[in-house]
Amino acid sequence: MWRIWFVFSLFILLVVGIIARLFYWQIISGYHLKAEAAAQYKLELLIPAERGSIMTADGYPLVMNKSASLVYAEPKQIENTKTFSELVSKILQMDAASVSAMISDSSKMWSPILHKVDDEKIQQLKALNLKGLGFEKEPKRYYPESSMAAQLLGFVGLDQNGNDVGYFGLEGYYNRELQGKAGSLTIEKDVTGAPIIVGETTRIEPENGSTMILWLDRTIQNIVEQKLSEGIVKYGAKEGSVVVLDPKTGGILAMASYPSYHPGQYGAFDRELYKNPIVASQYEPGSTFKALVMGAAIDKGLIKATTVFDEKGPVDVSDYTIRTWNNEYHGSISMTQVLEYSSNVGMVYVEKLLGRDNFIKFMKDVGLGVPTNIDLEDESSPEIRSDRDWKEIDLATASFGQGIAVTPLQMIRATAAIANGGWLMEPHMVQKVRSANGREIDVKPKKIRQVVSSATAQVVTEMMTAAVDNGEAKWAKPKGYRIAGKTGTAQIPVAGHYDDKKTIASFVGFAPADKPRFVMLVTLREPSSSQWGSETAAPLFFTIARDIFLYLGIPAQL
Amino acid sequence: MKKALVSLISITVVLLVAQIVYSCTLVGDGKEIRRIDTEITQMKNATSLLSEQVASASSLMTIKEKAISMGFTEKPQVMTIHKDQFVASLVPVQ
Repeated sequence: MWRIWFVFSLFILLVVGIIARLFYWQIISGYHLKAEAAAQYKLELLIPAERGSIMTADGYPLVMNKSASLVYAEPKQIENTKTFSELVSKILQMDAASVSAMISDSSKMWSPILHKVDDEKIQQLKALNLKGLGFEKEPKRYYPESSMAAQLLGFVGLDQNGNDVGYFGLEGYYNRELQGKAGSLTIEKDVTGAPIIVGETTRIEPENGSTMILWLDRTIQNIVEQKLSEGIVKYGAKEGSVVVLDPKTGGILAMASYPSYHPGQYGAFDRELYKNPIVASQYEPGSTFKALVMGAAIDKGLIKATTVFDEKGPVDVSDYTIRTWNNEYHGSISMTQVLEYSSNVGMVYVEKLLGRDNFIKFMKDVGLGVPTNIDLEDESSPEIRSDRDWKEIDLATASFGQGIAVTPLQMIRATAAIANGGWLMEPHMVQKVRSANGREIDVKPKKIRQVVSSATAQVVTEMMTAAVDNGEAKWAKPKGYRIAGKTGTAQIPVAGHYDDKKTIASFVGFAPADKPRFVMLVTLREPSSSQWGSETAAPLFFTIARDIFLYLGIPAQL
Repeated sequence: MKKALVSLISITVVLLVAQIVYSCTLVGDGKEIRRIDTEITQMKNATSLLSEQVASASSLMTIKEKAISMGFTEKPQVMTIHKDQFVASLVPVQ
């Protein structure tokens, strides 16, 4: 009897073993085995999606695709490796030894030689009629306006798998939307790897990338870039930037920096140039910040434009003495004149009236210390002190824009709030997204908060207009236009102290003052012709504004 | 029984013939589809090339070069007239 039970138990064990093994192969390893089997009899090819274009608001492409091809070799079919390498390398302007190394391994079925080769060279290569030389369509980025708006566009490079990826600027920020979704073609193959014509074929069509339509105006961008490079030479500045924004929508109409690079040849330029300084760099805004602080005090009802202040001499704050920029003092002056004379002493008076808490709250309200949320990849935001770290001297210097850091974009956005009835907007590059099937999605302008009342904004506008009409830069102002603005000359902090000779000259303003069509910020780093904003950045602002008036058809009022 | 068998065979033959005819038609269609596909690809390529040429020809750099060659000046002379001033008064009297 025990022998029967022994055999029975053996059978049971055998069955359990078989079930366990089947469970392992079918359930645990099933997916993996299925994939391995499919790899043996199926050939999967990727069908790349076409990357979307980037267009200006007036419908011109800044970036689009251009026909190009991948040049590859089939080493097994090459008759003479030496001749092949020499002929191909000559046309592709490559080293013959590199080409030779790529094709030397005859066990390889396929070897890529060069990606994204222009059609012109492809035609030359085809004319050679070389065996073992092949081509595959592989579109590349094309920039009809050459290097225009390079730092805001970014560029397309390759990732570690050799796929196109957008880096920096719009290409980086909207990479997923622009690149679309690749399709695939799965076909059955025979034992040699050749496709079986009558076999099962599965084709998934690619979804092409969306096209981005910007707020950017091509003509204004061109004016800005041209005048900026002329200004850099004229004023001997090391770097410079100009940004033009629509105060009603927060849309960026133009954005340019110098030095810049060409996105089509990004590899030939210094990597430092890839980041857009308008959103990624920081500077001390200097006197351009005064108009905003004045607005905060007026909004709280602490001062009026006509409030009189006695500018009798330097003022002591903690252990420091604060003077005016030219060490001249004008006695009794109004708040409007404080802006006209760009009086640091007058601003300390305003800051004292405003008080610590109100001042700190105002700086946060105008967006200091936090990114603006612009749709550009490289944005950063300088931190502002925590509330308890603000000392008396910090608040005093901050009232005239020293000791605080902003990005040029944060500065122009805060000023744009004055031009927009006190409303702070979220700045945006993209106005519409057009999908591959033609459907358009509007990106609505976004109001953040009202930082000052509409009445205050109007008063500050008048004060800024007076600062332009009677300030240091009045000589450069175009006649017949009401422009609200403020110059700024901020010293550059170097190793814990300010360098007297090194300044960032800037001018921020908007026009026409009564119904602003644009807000513009011009910054010049270390101008050598003069260190003052009124003699460098302001005239550059007015030169650009003059051309924008002509372009927008805004007549002078005489 | 015999009648049913004949009917069945007839239906089978008719269906077989129909399938052959239909397959032959499909073979033709496949060729036509391939031709249309090729044409679509060619048209897409041509459109893409044309867009590229249009973009290149309408770029500001090209327009500027053409404008200068046609005699347009880069710096327009803008004269602002006071609203009370007659345009005719600006014309010099001979």
